Amino acid sequence: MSKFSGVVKTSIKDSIVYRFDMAITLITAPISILVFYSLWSAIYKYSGVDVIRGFTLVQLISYYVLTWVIGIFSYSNIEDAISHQVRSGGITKELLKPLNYLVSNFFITIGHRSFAMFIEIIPVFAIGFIFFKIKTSLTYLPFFLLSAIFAFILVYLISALVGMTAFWLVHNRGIVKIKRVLINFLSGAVIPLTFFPSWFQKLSYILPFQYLTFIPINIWLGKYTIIQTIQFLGIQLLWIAVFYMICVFVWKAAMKKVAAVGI
Amino acid sequence: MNIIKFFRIWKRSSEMAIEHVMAYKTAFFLLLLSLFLGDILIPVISVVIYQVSSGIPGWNLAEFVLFQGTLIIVIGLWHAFFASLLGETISAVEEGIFDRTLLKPFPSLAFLTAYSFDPDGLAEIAAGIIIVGWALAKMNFFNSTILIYILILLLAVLFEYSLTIIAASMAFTFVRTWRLFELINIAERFSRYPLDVYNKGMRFFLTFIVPAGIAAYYPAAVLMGKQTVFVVFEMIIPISLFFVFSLWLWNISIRKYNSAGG
Amino acid sequence: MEKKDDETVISVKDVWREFKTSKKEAGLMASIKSLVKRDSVVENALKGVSLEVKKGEMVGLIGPNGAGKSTLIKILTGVLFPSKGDVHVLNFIPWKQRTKYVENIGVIFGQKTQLWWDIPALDTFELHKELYSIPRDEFEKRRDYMIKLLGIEELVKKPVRQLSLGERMRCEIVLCLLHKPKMVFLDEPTIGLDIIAKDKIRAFIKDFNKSYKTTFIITTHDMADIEKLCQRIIIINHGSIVYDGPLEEIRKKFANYKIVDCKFSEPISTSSFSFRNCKVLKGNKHELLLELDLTKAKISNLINHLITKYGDDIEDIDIQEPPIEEIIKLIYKKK
Repeated sequence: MSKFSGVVKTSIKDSIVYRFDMAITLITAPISILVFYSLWSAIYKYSGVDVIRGFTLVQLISYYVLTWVIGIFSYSNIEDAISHQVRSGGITKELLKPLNYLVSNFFITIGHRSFAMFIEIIPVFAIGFIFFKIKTSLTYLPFFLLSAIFAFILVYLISALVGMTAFWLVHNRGIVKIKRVLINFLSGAVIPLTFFPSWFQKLSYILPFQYLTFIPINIWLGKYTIIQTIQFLGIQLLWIAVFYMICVFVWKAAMKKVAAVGI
Repeated sequence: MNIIKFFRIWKRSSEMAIEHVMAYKTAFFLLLLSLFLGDILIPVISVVIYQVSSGIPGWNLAEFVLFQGTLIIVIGLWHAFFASLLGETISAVEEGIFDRTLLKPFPSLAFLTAYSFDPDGLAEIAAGIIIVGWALAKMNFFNSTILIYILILLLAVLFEYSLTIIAASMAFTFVRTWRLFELINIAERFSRYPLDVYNKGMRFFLTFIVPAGIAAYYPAAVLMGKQTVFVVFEMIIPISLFFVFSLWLWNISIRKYNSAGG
Repeated sequence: MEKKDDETVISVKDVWREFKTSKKEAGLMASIKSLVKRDSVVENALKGVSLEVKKGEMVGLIGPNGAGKSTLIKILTGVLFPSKGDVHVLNFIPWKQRTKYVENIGVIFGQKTQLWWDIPALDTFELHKELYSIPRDEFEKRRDYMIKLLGIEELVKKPVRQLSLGERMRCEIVLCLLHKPKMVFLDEPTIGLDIIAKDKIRAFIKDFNKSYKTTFIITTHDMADIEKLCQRIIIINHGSIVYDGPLEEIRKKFANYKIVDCKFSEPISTSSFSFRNCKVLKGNKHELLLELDLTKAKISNLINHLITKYGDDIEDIDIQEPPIEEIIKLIYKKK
């Protein structure tokens, strides 16, 4: 365990150097929220309704602010990191290190995200709360935190999988981008899944991606009962297990390839 | 600066850029596909919005899709011709090789711009044109206002170019921050929806102070007859001034780099 | 005409260059502190540097890392301006008339390529032609001549990433000289190359210098580069010039000694050996390694003494000059 805490501590120190990088969110996030707010206030007003597909304007704005919160919380660069290492040949160096590359990167990401909590996440939430009067449920906050952590792990595993395509397709930026676009839609990061036609909603309920954004956010908005919430948390864990096994499998295959063929 | 020399350098380095991506054909086409896909999905969201609500005041679905397609064309043009400028500057400063640019017998900004052709952007331009084409077909709309539309569109690209120059100038001070790209995105965020969704104060701000609203709003609005052709004259001055400002900022940053050693 | 050949191409007068660095400390608490406050320190990279270079000279510029070499080069190439002092190169003030000035210079960075990576060098040459506005026929003539001389006719058609380091350097040199610069700055031109490649490159540079009277300023850590190419070397340390003159004179000035290696055919006791102004570096039954201070003693006297003392038992006496590296090391170490 001490191995890992060392990695986390160093990556927090590392993050401090990039504080300006992170601070840029404090400019882009409020503006995006403002634009979103302007758009949907106009739409709600023009349509003369209070609720669209189960969301009031306040709930929708809250939803949007929370997509930022959870997006930053789950962000990891693992897919780009792997591609970069494979392309530059540096992956061989990484493989010589005692800690499995994916595992060490996981803890580095935890370090970075911990720092991001203070510089980005909490400020963005505060901006939403103070200026845009968003509403979240205090009761469900602990469930949300748990769900967000699960989402973080799930995002990491999925990104690692996509990143590992680099072992077979060295220049995989196209695949990474396609993945991002599709997942944005299917996770509810663009607009809540309930806005989509029912066939699309049905599709998204089968897939794991709604657990990255839509479900966690709705938990905090208090849209589910406690029982439902716990069920969703359970399903998140299930998906984590599934993707974990896939990752281990693909990683082994990748290592075989590296050993046999080289990069 | 010699314009002819600029075009010769631009032509040669663009040819080389295309040769360069052709070295990895599959990856290149996959990337083009991903960009194209990402853009084509944008009007899909609009369709969804118009299914669940009455949409944006003053714009029906086809008009709004035209609006979005316009924005995509502007961004595509920017991506194809000016975006790399920022990335190249940041990399060069980060790796300590920016000096090489200063060793070329050509003004640094012009040189970097000539080097900035990115074939990826063509996918976005294509997607944008298809989307606009679809919208125009749906509205059965074709007349000569299209020329003014194109002119305003080009002014919008000039605006994006100025933003890029400003962000690149900051690379010398804030070394190693790739998030400068997001500063440009700020303007793009304001351009995403017609100015009709904003209140009067913001509308003024987005027209005259930071003319982000112009990117898609004015070209589309003029085409749809929602604004008169005279907006062109309203826009030329602020955008030109903004451009001149960005050039001045670049020169100041280079001077600072020369005196600090990078 | 004599005057033209003796033309001064570089004139540096009393140049100073200061820079600020921020004091950094280690540890988590210090990192958090640095969020709020940063201490800065002013140091001088160059302290009153003056020098003159004449047309056609091949000058080696050496010094330990951080000595001020790259700062000086940056100032000479117009990328940086000095805090104090005058600089004229080819009758330009480099940083003031940058775009006009750099048309006349060429630069090679040994470790970083200026060729586009995924396409043939020939294509980068074409771009270079546009950049420097070289007329088509002049460009092709010079390009083909240099390609032939360096034997890279086939290599320039392959993507640069497929070339070995030596092959790439040859292409790099052509790129640098295509516009016939009057002055060339080389930074570690032979780094990482094998012996044969090094020789080829050096021969080419020498040739170019002879044919076109191009001035070369070479920054390098490779002493063989210096010995084979430069008649004059400038040593910079701690921001000042500590030596400026011919290579041979360095020995006389800094390390006037010779190494004498005396090997014996029969095991002999050498523990009693002593000679004035002579240091015993190594002494055992088979060998005596000596260092003789030439400012105080004569080599012939030492040799005579050795022969007298050990006579027939001597198998070989090898007299060596101190290697240039050792001398340079000594100079670097001085404060």
